[in-house]
Amino acid sequence: MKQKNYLDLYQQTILSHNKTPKNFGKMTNPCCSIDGQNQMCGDYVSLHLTFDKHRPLRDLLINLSFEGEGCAILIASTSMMTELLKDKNIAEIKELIIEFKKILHGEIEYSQRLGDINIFAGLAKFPSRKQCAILSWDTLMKGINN
Amino acid sequence: MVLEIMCGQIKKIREFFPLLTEQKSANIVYFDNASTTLKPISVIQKMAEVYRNYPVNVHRGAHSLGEQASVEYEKAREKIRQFINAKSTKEVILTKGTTEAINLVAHSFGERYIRRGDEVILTQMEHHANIVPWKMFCDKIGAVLKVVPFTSDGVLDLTTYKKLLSPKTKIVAVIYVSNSLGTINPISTIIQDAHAVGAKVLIDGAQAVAHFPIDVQALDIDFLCFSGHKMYGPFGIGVLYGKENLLEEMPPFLGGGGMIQNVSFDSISYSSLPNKFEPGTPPIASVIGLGEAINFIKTIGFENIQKREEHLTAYTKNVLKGITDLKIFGDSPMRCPVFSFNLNGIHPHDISTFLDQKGIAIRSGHHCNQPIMKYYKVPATNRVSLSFYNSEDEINYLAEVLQQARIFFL
Repeated sequence: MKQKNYLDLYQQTILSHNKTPKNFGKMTNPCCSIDGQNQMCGDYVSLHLTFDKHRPLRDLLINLSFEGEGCAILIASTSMMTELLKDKNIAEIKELIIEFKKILHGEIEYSQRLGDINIFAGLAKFPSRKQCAILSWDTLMKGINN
Repeated sequence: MVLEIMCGQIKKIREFFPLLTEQKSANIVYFDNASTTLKPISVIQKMAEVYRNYPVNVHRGAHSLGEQASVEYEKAREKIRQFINAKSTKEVILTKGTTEAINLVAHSFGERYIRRGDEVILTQMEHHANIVPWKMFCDKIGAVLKVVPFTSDGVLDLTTYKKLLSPKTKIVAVIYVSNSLGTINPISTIIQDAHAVGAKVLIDGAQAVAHFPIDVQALDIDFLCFSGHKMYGPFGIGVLYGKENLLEEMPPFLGGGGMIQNVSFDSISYSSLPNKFEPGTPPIASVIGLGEAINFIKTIGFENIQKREEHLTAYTKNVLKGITDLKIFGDSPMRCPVFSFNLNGIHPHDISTFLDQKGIAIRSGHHCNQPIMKYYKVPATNRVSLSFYNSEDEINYLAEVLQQARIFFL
């Protein structure tokens, strides 16, 4: 069972995001860029963020892109994260990051708001690969908190 | 008992290892021997015997249980002495592992012999364990690190090495067998050249000890470091061999009980070798277990191990070369059965998870060799590392699953 589910998980969504990641590349004049690295393997991401300057709190993320080098899980997780978080405000982003981590650690089974990203629940049994999935989300959270 | 390990007898050899024979794990293909070798039943039983029959401290008290533990413990040290042909058990220092042994030398040899402006030579293929302690020490006192490069074949550039050597060189620290590339380095030449300029040599033997015999006297090695768990022994035990005259001159590394003669708040006098470098209660069962691992290696015989592993090395190389889009890093003519490779740009983590799902355990990552990854311009590699107990069938199965992975990730 485990084998089938896990390889299915790779095949269905992760592989396609890995091959053609969304929002991949540099950004001209981002508000900020944040780097994250997986100490265990050296994989890394750079996230570029642009917030809406016209809003008084400047808390609406209107553009988000990434660069980096990593395995299919890292690239797909980041690609899907950028799609999800565009046009969200900081409070929502924080909530979604927390929700993603709950899914990953098996604390909740399903999140309506995360949609396709729920497939990463399949990683609950692979602790060493959770690091790959979580890197960009943690990096973003750290950046937002700073 | 000497066993001829021929293809047909491999089943018998595998029976020494519970992981390879017990029902729940018997189908695992274990190709991560460079990370740690499997443990034979004799080692497991010996350690259980210690914990069951004489689970007490060594070199303390006068009770007979303690006496038994001490005798077994020192017997193991003598086995280690014989294993590497050291002159005396005073030269066999028991440590937590290779890493602690190298730290001991960097700190203690460094403090005694290395001064600001002196030079330490390493190679570009060192494990982080043989880089970080030296870098930390050199930065602290203002000594200079020099690095011997390797060629794309994964062979050390000895011409550059000779040019780097000078009277400023105090120590050369070299890995005997590369844990990523499998290269066996020509340490005999390296040692002779270093000694010609008055430098000492530390050999990181972690990846060598399980594969062929090492004679510290014949090779004139000044320091040899290795770990028990990479030679069919327990975790948490390693060895530092050092020439007695050097160890005598070096100050203690860690302080504590068991390494002193007299202690007062005004002064301390230290024990003689080897105790001077062994403070605190040692991992007694692991030391005795390492002695048993040496017995195990003797039972199989290095001659058999080498013959079998040379065959497996050639066989694996041939099979891997037959896989489309697979690139092997390093191609030294002198090598152990350790292969780093990438497959068609697929990230090694994805490959290793795929293989894991098919029951094959390999390692993916930088293998504590970031300078090697940088040289080949890759973030990570897949690494397959074999032992004499691996079979041709397992290698064929690996090839089959790698072909599947290549198609899966297309």
